[in-house]
Amino acid sequence: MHSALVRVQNTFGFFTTVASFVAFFIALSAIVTPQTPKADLTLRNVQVARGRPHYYSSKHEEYAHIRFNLDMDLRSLFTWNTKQVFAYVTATYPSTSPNEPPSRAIIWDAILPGKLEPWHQNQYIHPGPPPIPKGRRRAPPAGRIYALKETPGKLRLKGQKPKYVITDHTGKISSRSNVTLELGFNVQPWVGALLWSRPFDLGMWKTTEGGKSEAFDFPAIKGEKPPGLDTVRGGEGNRGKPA
Amino acid sequence: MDEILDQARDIVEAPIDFQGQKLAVLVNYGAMSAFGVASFLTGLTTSNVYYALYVGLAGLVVTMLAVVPPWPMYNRTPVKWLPSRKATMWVTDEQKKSS
Repeated sequence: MHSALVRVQNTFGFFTTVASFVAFFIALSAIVTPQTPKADLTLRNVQVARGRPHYYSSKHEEYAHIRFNLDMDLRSLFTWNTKQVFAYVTATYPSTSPNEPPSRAIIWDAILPGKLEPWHQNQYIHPGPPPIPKGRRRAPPAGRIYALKETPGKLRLKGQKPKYVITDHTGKISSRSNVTLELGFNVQPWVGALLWSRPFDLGMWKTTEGGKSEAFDFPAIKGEKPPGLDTVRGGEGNRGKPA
Repeated sequence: MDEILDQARDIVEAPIDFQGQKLAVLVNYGAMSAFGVASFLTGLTTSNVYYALYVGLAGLVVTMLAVVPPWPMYNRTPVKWLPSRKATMWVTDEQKKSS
């Protein structure tokens, strides 16, 4: 500590030590906070349609379009160390071969910001009340009850459209059975480790109460013709391609 | 020329004496640790991590200001060197007494 430069170095060096200790205790203070996430997830309806992955693709695949109701309460995940929570709904269905693990795909997700998080366009905005029917004066009471910044983590969605329609590598997804929807989340703290939703309790962190739908089946494609009755494809199907 | 260089070196290096160095270490550890505790408690009570960050950074600035400049309290016991040997080949009794 004889010269100014050495004193600067030592002071800053000890500052980094103190900073890491403070960060450690901040993360620890969130660990000892109990978490009791709750959710009620039900299927609204499911449709399977045939489509193309993109406009110029000649590949036809089947896509499942799953609508769901979600009433969730993740408020206990928002401690003072929570930056944001990523919530997502997955559809899990068994694969065709018994040797393969079940397929799992995300159909909807949302970034739920904490109170201190500055606004960003990717953050989730809770849908507002349904439009007021003509001839009625007052809006129905179920309006924007969950303003996210006041009660982050609370959502009530009815007949929510999926963000992503799903298919898999076989391109065939109709008439699969035993599909379940499940809510997952990922807590992103300001300081500390990421925390994922899990099927078991972890100390004071309880697993999600509910958050799983009953099993359902993917229906057959609407208006599907029996094989052999398809329109015969002529040469126009090869237009724009080398012979 | 040498005197000017010595002065320049004193300004840049800002030396402090041995007792002062011990004190500077103590001040560094004490102040920074206190600010670390204050930073955590501020964040916990206000539920705002930004405040914890600001208090911690303020602590760094204050500690730097307290430790880095050669304040007079770090130079209260200057080292008394013996006279150089070219001037006196041996130390006289008088010099022994004074040192």
